[in-house]
Amino acid sequence: MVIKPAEFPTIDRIDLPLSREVNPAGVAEQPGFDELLGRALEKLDGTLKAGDAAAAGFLQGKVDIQQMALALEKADISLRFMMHVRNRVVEAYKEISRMNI
Amino acid sequence: MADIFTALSIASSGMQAQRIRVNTVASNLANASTTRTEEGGPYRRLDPVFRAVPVEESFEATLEGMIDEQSNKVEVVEVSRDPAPPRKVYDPQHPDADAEGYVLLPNINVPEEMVNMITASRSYAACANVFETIKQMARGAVDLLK
Amino acid sequence: MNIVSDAIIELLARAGELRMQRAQLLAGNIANADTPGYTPREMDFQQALELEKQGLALAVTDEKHLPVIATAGSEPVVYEKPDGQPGLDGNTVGLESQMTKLTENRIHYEAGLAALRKKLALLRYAVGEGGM
Repeated sequence: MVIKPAEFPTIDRIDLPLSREVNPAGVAEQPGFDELLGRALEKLDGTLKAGDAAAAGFLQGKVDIQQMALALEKADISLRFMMHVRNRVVEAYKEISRMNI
Repeated sequence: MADIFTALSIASSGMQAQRIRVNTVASNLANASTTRTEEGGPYRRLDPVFRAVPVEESFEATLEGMIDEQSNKVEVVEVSRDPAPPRKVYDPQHPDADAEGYVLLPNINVPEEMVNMITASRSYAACANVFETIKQMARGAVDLLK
Repeated sequence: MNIVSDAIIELLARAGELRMQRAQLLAGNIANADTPGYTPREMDFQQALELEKQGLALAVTDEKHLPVIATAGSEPVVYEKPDGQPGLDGNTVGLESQMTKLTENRIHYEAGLAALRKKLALLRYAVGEGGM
């Protein structure tokens, strides 16, 4: 996941800029994991679609070869990264479910 | 069908035609002063006649589209004898001079033949280039499988 | 998640076909560079590709439609395009112009092929090693 510097939690502020909930104790909650994952998936979908659009644009003569190559390469990296994240998540889930409570 | 093999055969037809042309130029140059031939008389200049031939001329091709109808090979229809009359040159010493001392020589213009040779050579190279290009394109498609 | 993008893969494949067709046409022009009375042929690549795009869009929008046989309707239009003034023999082929077109066509072809290869590799990855 590409986390922009503005989103890094700083020590003096526990709340993240995109956080919406503030609990009564005054400590802001971080966005839920599913929300982060959802956003990452949206970004991936966007990257994949951008790659397709670049290829279509190239065929129509509107997009340069380099632009298309870059867009497709970004799509490739994003997909592989997401797969990697997914595999790690599944691993983690399995690990947790194996724990005896 | 508009495919690699059709394209390759078009390019090779070009190379073949130009090669025939080079051969006729070579024959003309070699015989620029030939006064005796089997048919009698001086050597007559050779001239290849090129013609464009569509690769496919059929009803099915018309249905499928015009690519095959409009793609043309080149064909040497014939190598004709130049009908222009031979040159008359005054040379009484020549063994084939007639009663008035004139010899009939082939009407071959050496500079013109050289230009033809160069043009043919250039066109041959262009067709060879086309051949190579088509071949590379095909190879790229095959690489998809790898 | 849109990993399996059939439309773009079909489009890339069709573009490759069209580029090969154009290569054949250009080969014919070059082979006839010295043929008396010959005029070079050209084809409208974008127009044929556009028809293919429309055909694909139609196929995708409604599953109840019969699958569109895109090739039938999207055949390229071929036209004559002289490269310059005819010489004494009536030939209008400009060898330099045709060779340039051939090269440009080839570059587009190979770039499209590379994009197709990339799309297929992504598909293959998602289906294969990406899994656990």
